[in-house]
Amino acid sequence: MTGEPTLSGRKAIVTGGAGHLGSGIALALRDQGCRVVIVDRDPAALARFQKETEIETRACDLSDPVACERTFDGIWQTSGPISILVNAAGRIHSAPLVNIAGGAERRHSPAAWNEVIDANLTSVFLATANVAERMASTRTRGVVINLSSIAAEGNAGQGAYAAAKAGVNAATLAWAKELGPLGIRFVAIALGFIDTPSTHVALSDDAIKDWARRTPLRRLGKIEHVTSTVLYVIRNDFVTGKVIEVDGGLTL
Amino acid sequence: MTTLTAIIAEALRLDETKVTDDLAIHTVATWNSLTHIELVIMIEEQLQIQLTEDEIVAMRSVRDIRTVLGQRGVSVT
Repeated sequence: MTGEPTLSGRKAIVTGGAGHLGSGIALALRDQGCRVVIVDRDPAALARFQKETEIETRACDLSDPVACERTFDGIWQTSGPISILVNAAGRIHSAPLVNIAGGAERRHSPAAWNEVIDANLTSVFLATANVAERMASTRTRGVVINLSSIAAEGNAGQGAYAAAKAGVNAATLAWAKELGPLGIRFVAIALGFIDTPSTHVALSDDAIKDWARRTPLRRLGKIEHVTSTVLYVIRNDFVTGKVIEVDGGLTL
Repeated sequence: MTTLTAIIAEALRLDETKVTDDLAIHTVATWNSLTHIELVIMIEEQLQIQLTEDEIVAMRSVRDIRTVLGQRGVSVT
């Protein structure tokens, strides 16, 4: 990494920062000299993370507009101006549109649909709107990085999750066009299968082996592949309005 | 020296003859909330000032822009 500019003096917010991917990104940013604040809805996980890392944390339900306004205003007051936002909050959800063997639940639950859209799309919208508006008002040039998924291309059995991530990708491009003149960049990183504890919870070992076999590089990605992409996007200030796939070639 | 009329015309993709004091946001298709950002950036860069949020909100017409800049002591044609 000799010769690579550090991010000393930059300030960043990582949503979902108490999760495996989010915490990895927060630590990578901190190690590059960034002052980092993580936002997550899980107070217990935040407390553990803060104790282990001494990184500043804020608890917030990112699907609640009022809570978001309060949280991001507080962060801006104490730590602003923020020039990096990484939207890593979200959760995988698998359920088919129709389940003919589902008994009373033969259709995708509307409540589950709304929860998945809230967790994966509305949270990105609210966090981004709060930060981007403050960036614009203070003429802070910066970057918003949205963690997306190759599921956006339409994973069978993940309609809500796929729709949410496709929404994230589309919004990323729209916002890049809107706020590019102010020097605010937007990039989505569409992840394939990354080897995190969450992946092992969501998928069986056999399913993981199967996905690795289907991936041209024959393996899952590591958190380092995600963090290195985040750092690349931050450092290369001529990249905006793109969805970068980090998937070992799975979508080829 | 670039005139305010020229700046506005370029930002809003209008012929300079269309830039009158009565021209206002949303009265022409090219002056909307998105191009307003470009207009603000161009005014700031060309005139080497930074507008406040209140000033940006107050700039609803060419006449308003002249008023804001006049209050700043910026001389424009």
